[in-house]
Amino acid sequence: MAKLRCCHRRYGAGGIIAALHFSNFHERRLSVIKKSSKEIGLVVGSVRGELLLGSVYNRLSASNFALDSAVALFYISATVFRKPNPASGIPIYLQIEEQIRHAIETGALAPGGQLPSIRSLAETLVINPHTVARVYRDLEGQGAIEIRHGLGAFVAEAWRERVRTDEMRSAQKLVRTVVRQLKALGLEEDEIRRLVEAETVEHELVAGRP
Amino acid sequence: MDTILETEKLSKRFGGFEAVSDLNLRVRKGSICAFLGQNGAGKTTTLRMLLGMMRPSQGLGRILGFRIDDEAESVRIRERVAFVAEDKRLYDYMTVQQILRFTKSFFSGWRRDRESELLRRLDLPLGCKIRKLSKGMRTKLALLLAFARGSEFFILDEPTEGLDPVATEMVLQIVVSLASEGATVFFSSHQIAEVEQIADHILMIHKGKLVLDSPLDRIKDEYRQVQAVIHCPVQNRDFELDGVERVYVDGPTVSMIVSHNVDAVMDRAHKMNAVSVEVAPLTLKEIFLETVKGRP
Repeated sequence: MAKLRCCHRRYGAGGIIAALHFSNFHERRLSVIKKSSKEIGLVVGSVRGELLLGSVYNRLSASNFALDSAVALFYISATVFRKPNPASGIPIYLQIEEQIRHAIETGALAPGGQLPSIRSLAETLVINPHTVARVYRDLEGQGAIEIRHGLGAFVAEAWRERVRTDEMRSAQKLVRTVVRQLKALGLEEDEIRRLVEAETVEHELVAGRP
Repeated sequence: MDTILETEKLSKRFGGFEAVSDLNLRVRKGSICAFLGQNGAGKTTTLRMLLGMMRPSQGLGRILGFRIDDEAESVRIRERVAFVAEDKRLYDYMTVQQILRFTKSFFSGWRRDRESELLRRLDLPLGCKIRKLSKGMRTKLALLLAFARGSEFFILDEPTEGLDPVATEMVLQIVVSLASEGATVFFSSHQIAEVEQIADHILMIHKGKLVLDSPLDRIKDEYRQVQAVIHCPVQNRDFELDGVERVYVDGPTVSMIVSHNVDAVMDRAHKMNAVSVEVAPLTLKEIFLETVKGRP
């Protein structure tokens, strides 16, 4: 699983550069990010373990936008955030919350690691910024992340003891085996997901809220 | 100021036909609010009244504190609110470049950065006459002219109608960016999926009347379909409870659309010796269909 740390440096009105540090990052995925970053008008370079992004535009906000998108893209490719399914009946904020919690629990987002800004995550996933703000607020309330004003959201350091990476990994193995068995019985992925959801979310539906 | 738009008993009659009746709308500042309704439900009539293009037969409305039925104040509204009409009407004889230059001369807050960003992303041909643009291109241009105005409030009548999926996603992304900067967006749409994706509040009208006014999260958290199997004879009135919007009885199976108060509904079913009670979430599309179905 890739780990990353972002260092976001900005230089006056002339241009911007961001350096994204990463380790254990998949080479193929990196090339996808490089390609997408170029498409949104960024200059891309990389040295060992570090991706450098710069902007050719002089207008600060336009390049800020592009850069934020790239940074969010980088995080999302690293932590595999998916676009939520708006039609699923489960509120979008719960879907995103679950994804982020999962990323923290599996160690994809390390303690102290920075999360994308509300704006860039909203733009990248194309969802309401208030929804992202609510997710961050809820996660902060649960102690999973810390919001440092003016700096952004970070995975809580105190969460470290609660990260159950090993348990999650062995659980993942169990689930994988069960899913494989169910598929062998002829069940579709949709049906399997519904079964798991029925087992786990019933009380949420009745209570109206988890 | 918390409210950016509000109306009180706003109504419009055409002869004997009541297109809009007693509409009480409220849009909060910073929200992305969706305005839903079937064709002919009165959405466009409402928007036209809000923007001073049509006089209300009755009722009041204010945008940014200005009265919509006062001519001078309505001018102030149109100065400050960016509007994209359903027909995306533009000056046909101008080129894209000319209409950009023409439009920006009216607005001191014009966002050049956003203009160049959108020109690049939406891929509009600068030298082309508007008359020769395709319907999708014309829509993109109309949206660009609105988005670059630097307004605090955007009213969009079916902004993504006729756009391909790529352009639609781009437009939704721009709406999200606007909201991230603190702007308010009030838009009508028939694309329920995109509404669910970006809106935080839903206003739904049916035959000129407001039938749903709620934050989207609350709708998703509280609207449920409850299905119970009850072997003793059941009548619709057995489930006349607070929060039950619809009851369908088919033999031993009772299906209900519940807008809140699910616990009480389940209690009632259990008291009637239901052999099974199932609760399932509803999508906005299902809620929309149920809300407009069979209403007078």
